[in-house]
Amino acid sequence: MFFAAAIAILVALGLALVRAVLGPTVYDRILAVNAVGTKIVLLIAVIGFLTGRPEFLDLSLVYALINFISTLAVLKFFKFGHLGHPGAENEETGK
Amino acid sequence: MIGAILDGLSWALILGGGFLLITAGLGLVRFPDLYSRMHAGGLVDTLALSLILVGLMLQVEPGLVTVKLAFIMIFLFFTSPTSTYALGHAALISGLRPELSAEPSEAAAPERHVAPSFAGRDALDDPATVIAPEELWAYGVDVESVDADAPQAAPDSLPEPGRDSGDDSGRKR
Repeated sequence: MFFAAAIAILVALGLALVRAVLGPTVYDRILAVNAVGTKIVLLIAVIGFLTGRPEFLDLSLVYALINFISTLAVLKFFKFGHLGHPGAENEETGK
Repeated sequence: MIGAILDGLSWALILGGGFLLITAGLGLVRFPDLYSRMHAGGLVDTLALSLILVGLMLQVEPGLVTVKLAFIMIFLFFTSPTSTYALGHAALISGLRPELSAEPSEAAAPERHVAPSFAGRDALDDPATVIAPEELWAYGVDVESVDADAPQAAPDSLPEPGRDSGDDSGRKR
């Protein structure tokens, strides 16, 4: 059963990769990368059950956190053209 | 007896989740524009994920593993729609219009005031759009270049909606 779930997740991963390669705009690629990340979280959890090592769930949890942050960071980069802010604290301290 | 019932329930949940995952993948590949793809990816992903994780929860006796699975599920249940929303908002601001919208019939409508954060650059070419001069900065243009074409184009020269969703329209900013 875990094997079937892993196969289904891998197929969905492949389809998301197809969209990441095809995607006409950069937002299609971001969407595909986000979907790949979500599916990898699932895949790590299922593989942990498949090999009888539920400790893999910790990796899965960390990956979920990183995936969310990275999606928002990439979106911010394409929205503003940079990740950093010019810096209000620089103006305040005069440095 | 109870164990067999839980096992069957877990089977059904995991297989249903796998089916939904493949459906979401097909929608991601075959849908025509970004917004419908986002619908397929974001909506079905949340449900498929919950189904598979609940199915995994039923496989173990209650304990730390169940709690970890519940944490993953709750976290992704909130972050996946959030990132989908952020993606859609960023795409709309950058001027990417939905291909499947009813834009041509809207052109006959009278004036339509659009909040700057929800209008893209296409709104500038749309004669039905009225933009206050103090909001022009939100469209990424300087005021002089807009005043130059103040005698606006006829409504039948509207740009084809979604025509500019080319390769580099997402990289404008």
